[in-house]
Amino acid sequence: MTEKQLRFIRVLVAAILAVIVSQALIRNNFILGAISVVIASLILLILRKRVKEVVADERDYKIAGDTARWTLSIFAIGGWLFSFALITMREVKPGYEIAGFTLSYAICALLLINMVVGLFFRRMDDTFPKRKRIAYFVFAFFIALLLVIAGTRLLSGEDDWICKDGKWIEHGSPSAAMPTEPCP
Amino acid sequence: MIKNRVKEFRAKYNLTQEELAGRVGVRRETIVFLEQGKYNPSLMLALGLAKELKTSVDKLFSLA
Repeated sequence: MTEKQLRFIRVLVAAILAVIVSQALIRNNFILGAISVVIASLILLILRKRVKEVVADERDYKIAGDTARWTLSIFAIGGWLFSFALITMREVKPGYEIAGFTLSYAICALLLINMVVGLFFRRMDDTFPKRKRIAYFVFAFFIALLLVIAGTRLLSGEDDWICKDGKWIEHGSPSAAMPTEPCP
Repeated sequence: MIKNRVKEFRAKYNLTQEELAGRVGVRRETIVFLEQGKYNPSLMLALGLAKELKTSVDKLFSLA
């Protein structure tokens, strides 16, 4: 298989995956979505191994590194500004506060993962065996994921106004005033 | 920036960019950018190129 063919298959798999995942989310079938992502990843991994040409080299990795660094900075700074704006507008609509905090937590999670992965790569030198490196990386990734999930669960603001039987009911102690719009 | 004589040595050994790229384990685009002076290779790639072009790194690369 050539690199060109792999690129075409990648686009095709991504398009099919997008359709399946969106349909799975619409139908609340999260297992189908998760399974399709895993299968698609495995297909691409197997196909990549069959390509004889060089798929990515040191220049691609350098570009990917620069791109990742810039993307992270843009997302962190832009996201922080946007979440700040959303939180300050909580009086307009309580939903803005939730969106703002969700975005803030997403930025924190991303920076945390970046820090953990960065620490990991700083400790690994070029002589470290590749297989061991992948195993350590997967382990570190799951630890980071667990920390993020635990952090999100512990720190997420569950205090909000809930609409029940046509009335707004306090859930916890929301900082925003009761919504003015009618409860649907 | 680093000046290089990769194109000159490649022509000497009658190698295409594709062939040289395959021998040193990079993509053809990397050789293109390298020859145009738009990319500084890693030490690993510089040594690989010098080996394939039967020369030394200091003959292949120099500071501009």
